[in-house]
Amino acid sequence: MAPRDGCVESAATSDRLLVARVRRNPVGAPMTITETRPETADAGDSTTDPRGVVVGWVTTGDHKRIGRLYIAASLAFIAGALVISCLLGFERASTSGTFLRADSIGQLFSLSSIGAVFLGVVPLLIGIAVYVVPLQVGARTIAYPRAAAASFWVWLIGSGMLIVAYAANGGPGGGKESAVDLFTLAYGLVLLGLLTAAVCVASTVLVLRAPGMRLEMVPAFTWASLVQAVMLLLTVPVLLANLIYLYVDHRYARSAFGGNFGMGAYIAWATRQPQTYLYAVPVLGFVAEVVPVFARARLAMHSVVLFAIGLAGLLGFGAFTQAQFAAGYSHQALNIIMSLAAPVPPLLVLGVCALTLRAHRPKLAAPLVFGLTAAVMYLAGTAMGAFTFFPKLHLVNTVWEEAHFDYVVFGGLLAGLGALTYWAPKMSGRLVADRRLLGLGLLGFVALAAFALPQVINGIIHQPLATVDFTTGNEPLNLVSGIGAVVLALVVLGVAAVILNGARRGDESGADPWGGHTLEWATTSPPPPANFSQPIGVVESERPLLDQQEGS
Amino acid sequence: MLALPPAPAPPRPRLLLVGTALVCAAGSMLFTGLLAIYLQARETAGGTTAAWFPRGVQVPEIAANILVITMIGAVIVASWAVYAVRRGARTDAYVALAALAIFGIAVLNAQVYIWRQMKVGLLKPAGQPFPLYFYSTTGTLFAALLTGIVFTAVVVFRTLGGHSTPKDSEGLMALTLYWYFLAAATVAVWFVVYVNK
Repeated sequence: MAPRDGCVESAATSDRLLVARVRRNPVGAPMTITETRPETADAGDSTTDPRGVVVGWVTTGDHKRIGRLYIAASLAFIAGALVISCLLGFERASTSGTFLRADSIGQLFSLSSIGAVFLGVVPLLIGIAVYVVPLQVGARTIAYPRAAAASFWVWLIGSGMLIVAYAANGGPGGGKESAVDLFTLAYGLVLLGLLTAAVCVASTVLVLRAPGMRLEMVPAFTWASLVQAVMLLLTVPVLLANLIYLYVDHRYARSAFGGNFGMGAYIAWATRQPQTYLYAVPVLGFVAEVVPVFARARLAMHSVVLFAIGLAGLLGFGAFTQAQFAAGYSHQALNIIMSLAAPVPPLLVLGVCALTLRAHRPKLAAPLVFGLTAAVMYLAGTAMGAFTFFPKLHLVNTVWEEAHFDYVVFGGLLAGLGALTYWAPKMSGRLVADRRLLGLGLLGFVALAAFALPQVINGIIHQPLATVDFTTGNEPLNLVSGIGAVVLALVVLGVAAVILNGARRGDESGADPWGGHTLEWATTSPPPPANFSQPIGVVESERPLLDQQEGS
Repeated sequence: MLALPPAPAPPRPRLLLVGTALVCAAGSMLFTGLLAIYLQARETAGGTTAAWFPRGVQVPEIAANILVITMIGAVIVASWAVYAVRRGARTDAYVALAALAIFGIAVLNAQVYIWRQMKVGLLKPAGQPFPLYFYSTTGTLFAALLTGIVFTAVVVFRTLGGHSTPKDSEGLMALTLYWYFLAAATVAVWFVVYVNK
């Protein structure tokens, strides 16, 4: 009987896929069965596409290309958002008048936060998930590859429209009506694109896992991507509901929501705690992914890590804190309880990682540094969030909230950069300059601390949120914050440059340069069009390649 | 040589069904958000129909009720289509799918009729936000219904092409799930917007 989907391989073939504790599927089934047509799963790489490079990339259904498109575009947007943050930091530090137009300050603040989240960190992490998750679960392709491709283009077009809307004096507080309308439409498109990608990632994990890979056996990063995708599907539509009302009101009615100046209040919850925690959930998955690899050991308590990641996702449900329901959201009991509980998941994950690292001396490498520093930043952000609603501290609506946002969201950025350094050899088939990346990882940590820590202090002395109009005499701290944003943007560009340089000039990496534990390292680097050239047997643990190493 | 029976086919992953379930979950949150904001705005406006609903505007209640009943009928015929395909009764399945498409278009027609009969403009009466919330909510439902009809058309063509079989009715099941979601959303919108006002 011919195997389906062209996954034809000899049972006698032996390579890393047939690992020690991975037994053959009793029915001799291919590793995954999908409805995907072969042409989407088997799309060739850009250098061999007969239709040409550009057409090949634009029409691709290959999740590896789609993931790379997401990563490249989101890194560019993150750098842009950081430049805006830096300009605002310098504006706050300026004692001799303003160099930015006063009426554009509010728009720049909203663009920097929306850009960092929905044009930057979330698509970066989703792009990495689009690339990595199918490989980690042993699938030939992502679920709904054409939908995944459409999600990227919808998101990219929406992102472009969003920037154009801001440039044309749109956005919350914008002065041009049509540009404000364009902003709401563009924001909706951006969200639709990300939601579609979330459906693809979640479906891949839920349905296309290799035989025997139960849900509790999926790698930590894949689990975190699943949690983030599902929680995005449960919260972002509420933001879409807000945008529908805002668009109809602003375009036709002007009977509620306060027009262009009022709309910011109705969408701000999406970039405030606890919703921000959701955007950085993959931080926990990534650190739990790399610690055991570089410690060359099993993670002490895999199930505890999965529980913690799931809890982090639940604690990131912020749709109930929006302005309509919660004018006094800082006094909501549920919000306060969730904020107090938010540090628990990163503490659990870091605790498990510490146990693993204590028992096994780790190999110091860039992905480990990025992962650990990202998790520490995430922990710092959640710890700050726990204090935000203490009434006597009066931290609500101060830059304390901005620092909290920076720690959590840009902690997600550090994890994203770490994930790129970790999986870059898999993507390109070539080694990257790990020493340089390690230095950039440490610099990124310092830069993020310099970016956010001054705002912690400024928040304590009640510098107001999202404005440059204040008189607290703390200009030097704002200058440090601006410099931190510049350095962080340079780190983003530096990491991208080192990885691209490695992809062109680096030594060949082989299939598994790190000694990885999960299925993506069982295939060649870069992976073949259908991901795995050999069928995978039945997976029996969360670390099948480590099983093989220990068994041989 | 002893000929062994062929190995059973591997279980088929329900990819389309899982994807549709995720979309329905997201859609449910969209309508939950829309209706929650609607109810909160109504509460802010005074919490009573008199304070919230424009004077002189009549809800065509018969049309609204027929809209809901038609949606429930659509769910029943969608379930019938799945049942028929699983039993191999393809003719019944074709009839059920045709009925589903007609019911869906009838619901759209009822919605347009309600819009025309209510004669409430978005800009008028001035200062009253009800029309904004009304059109936003029902318009989103209309878009979701349109998506359902397109989905139905795709499944009809796939079924005509022989894709739906007693052993493989996943596409039809996914379609039915989507119509269940639409029915739930329609009932919720009907109760909040037309009954509760």
